[in-house]
Amino acid sequence: MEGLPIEVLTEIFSHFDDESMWNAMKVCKIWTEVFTTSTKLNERFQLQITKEFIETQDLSNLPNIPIKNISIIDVNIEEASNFKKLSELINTYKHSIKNFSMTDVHFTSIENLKEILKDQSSLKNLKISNLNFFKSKPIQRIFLPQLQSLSIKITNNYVNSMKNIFDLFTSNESIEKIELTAQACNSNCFDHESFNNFVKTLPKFKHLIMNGHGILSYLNHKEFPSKLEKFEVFALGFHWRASVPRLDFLKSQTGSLRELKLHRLPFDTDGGEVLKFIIEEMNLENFYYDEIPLILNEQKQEIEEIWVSEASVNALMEILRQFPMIKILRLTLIGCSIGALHLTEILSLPTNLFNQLQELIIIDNSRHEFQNFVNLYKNCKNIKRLTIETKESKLSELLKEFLPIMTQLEEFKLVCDDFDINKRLEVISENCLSLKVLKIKKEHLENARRIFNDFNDLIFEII
Amino acid sequence: MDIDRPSDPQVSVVSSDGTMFHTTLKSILLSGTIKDMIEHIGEGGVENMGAIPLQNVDSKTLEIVIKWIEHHKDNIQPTSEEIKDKTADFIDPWDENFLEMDLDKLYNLITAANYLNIPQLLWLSTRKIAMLIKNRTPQEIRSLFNIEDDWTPQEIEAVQKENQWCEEK
Repeated sequence: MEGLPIEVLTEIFSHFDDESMWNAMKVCKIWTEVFTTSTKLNERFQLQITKEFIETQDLSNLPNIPIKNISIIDVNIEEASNFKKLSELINTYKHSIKNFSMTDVHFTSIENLKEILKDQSSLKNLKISNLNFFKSKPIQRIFLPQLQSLSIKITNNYVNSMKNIFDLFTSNESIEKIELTAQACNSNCFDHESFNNFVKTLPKFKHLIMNGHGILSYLNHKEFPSKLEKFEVFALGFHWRASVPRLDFLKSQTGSLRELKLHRLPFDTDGGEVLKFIIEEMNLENFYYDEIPLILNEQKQEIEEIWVSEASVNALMEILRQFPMIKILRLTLIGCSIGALHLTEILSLPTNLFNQLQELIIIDNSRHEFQNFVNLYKNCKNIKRLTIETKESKLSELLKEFLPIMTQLEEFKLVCDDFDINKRLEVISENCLSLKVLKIKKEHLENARRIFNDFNDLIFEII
Repeated sequence: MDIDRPSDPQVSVVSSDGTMFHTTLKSILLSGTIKDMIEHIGEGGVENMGAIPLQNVDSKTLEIVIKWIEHHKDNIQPTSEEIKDKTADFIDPWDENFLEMDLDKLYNLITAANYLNIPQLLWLSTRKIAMLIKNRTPQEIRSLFNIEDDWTPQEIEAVQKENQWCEEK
C-alpha cells in the first residue's frame, strides 16, 4: 500500500462511506494526510446549512464524519425551534469544526451567537457576515481556545453589531488576524474606542484587513495599541477622516509592518507624501497596489503598466517618479477623480512628468462634464499609443485636447459611439500623420477606410 | 489501400521486463496514455510503428490488463468525468470474477490502470480494494496491508476527540 501514489489512494478512499472513511483516517498519518489534502475527499468534510436544510434535515441522520468546514447561509433562527436544532447540530461537531462561516443569519440576540459557538474546541477561522441582532445587551465573553482569524462584515443598519461582537471575543488571546468589512457605512457610525479596547486584549494580533469606505475610522493612531505585521486596505483611496492622519498611523507601525496592500492610491492632498513615506521610509518587505508588487527592487524594474482610477495627482506623480519604468498609464475616470477634483493641480504639473510614458489609456466614464486635461496630455511627448473610451458627448472635446500629441501617434484605439463619427475620424486623419494602426468598432470600418484613403500602410483592427 | 486494411490492426506492447504482447488497436485505445501516444504518431503510422514500450508495467500485470481491455474493447467506456459521479450500482459479473486476485496483483493492477489511464479499470480495481477495507477496524486494516502504526497515543487521542460523536454512536 505504501507504494501507491496519493492520487490512487484518493481514488480508493473516494469509494468509502462515512464510517469506513473515519476508520481509515485512523490507520496512519499518510492516510490522514490524503484525506485532508485532497479537494475531492475534503468535500465530504463540509456541511452547508441552509434554510431548507434546517427545516428538513433529520438530526439523527447527520454525516457520521468529523465535519471540518461549516457554513450557515440565510437562516432565520429567531424561531426557537430552528435555533434549537441549529445549536444541537453545531454542537455535534464541536471538536472537529475548524472553519465556520455565517452569512445572513437572523438572531434574536447576540446571546444566540454565543450559544451556537460555545465549546468549539478546534475552531480556527470564523467568518460572520450580515448578522442581524434585534436585541443587544452587555454579555459575557466567549472563549475559543484555537481561534486565529476573525472576519466580521456588517450591514448599514446594524452598526452596533460590530461593537457587540468585539465585546464577545475580547481576550481570545489566540487571535492573530482580523478582517473588518462595512461596505456602505457612514464613518461616523463607528467608534474606534471599542476596537482599540478589543485589540488591546489580543497580544498575538498582527494582521488587519479593512474593507469598505468608512471602515478606516476604526483606526486611531494615537491610541491604536497593536503593532501590525500585515495591513490590507480595500477601501476607496486609502482615505480616512482628517482627524486620523494616515501618515501618523503608518509612522506608528513602521518597524513592525512587513506587508502593506492598498487597493487604491491615496487620493487626498497628502497622497504623494503618504506614498513616498511608504516606499522610502517604511522598510517593507512587500507593498502591493491593486495586487501589483511595488516595492521589491528587482520587480520595481519590471513594472511597466499602472492602472489608476482614484488617486490624487500628487500620488500619481509620486508613483511615476518612483517607478521610471512605467510606460503604460491607464486612467479610469469615475466621478471624483483626477482632473475632476484636482484640476488646478494638473494644470500646474511639471512639464517633464509624463515623458516616460509610451501608452496612454483614457477610460472616461465620469458623469462630470469634460474637464480641461490639455496640460496633462501636451506633456505626454513620447506617447505612441492612445486609447480613448468615452461617451459620445465628450469625444469631440477630448480629441481637441489631444491635438498637441496626435502628430506622433502610431496607434489609435477609439471606443465610442458617435452620430458624428465621420467628423471625428476626419480630425484624427488630419492630425495623426504617423498613424500605423487604427482600432475601431466594426460599424465604423467602412467610413474609416474611405477617410484614411491616403494612408498607405495603415492597418485597421476591429475591436 | 483502406480496403485491405484490417478494421482492427494489431499492435504490440512491451512490458518493463522485456516481454512482448500482441493485442489490437481497439483494445489498446482504452488506455488514455497510449491513445495520446498514437495520436501523436498520426494516421497511417499505426501499422508501421514498432512495439510500444511500457516501462512502468511488468509482464504479469500487463497480461492482466490486456485480458481486461480485450474483453471490453467493444464497450463504450465512461470518461473520467463520468466516473466521478458514478455510484456502485451494477458491477458486471465478468469484472467481479476478473478482480478475484491476491492483494499484490491488485496493487499492481491499480498502479498500471492509473499509469495507463484506463478510468473504468481504475474505478473497478480501487473499488475492489475499498471493499476489502470496509467494515474493518484501523488495526485490522493495518495488518491486512502491512502498514505501520505511526501514531503516538497522544496523537490518536486527539484524532479520536475530533469525532467523539461518531465514536460513541
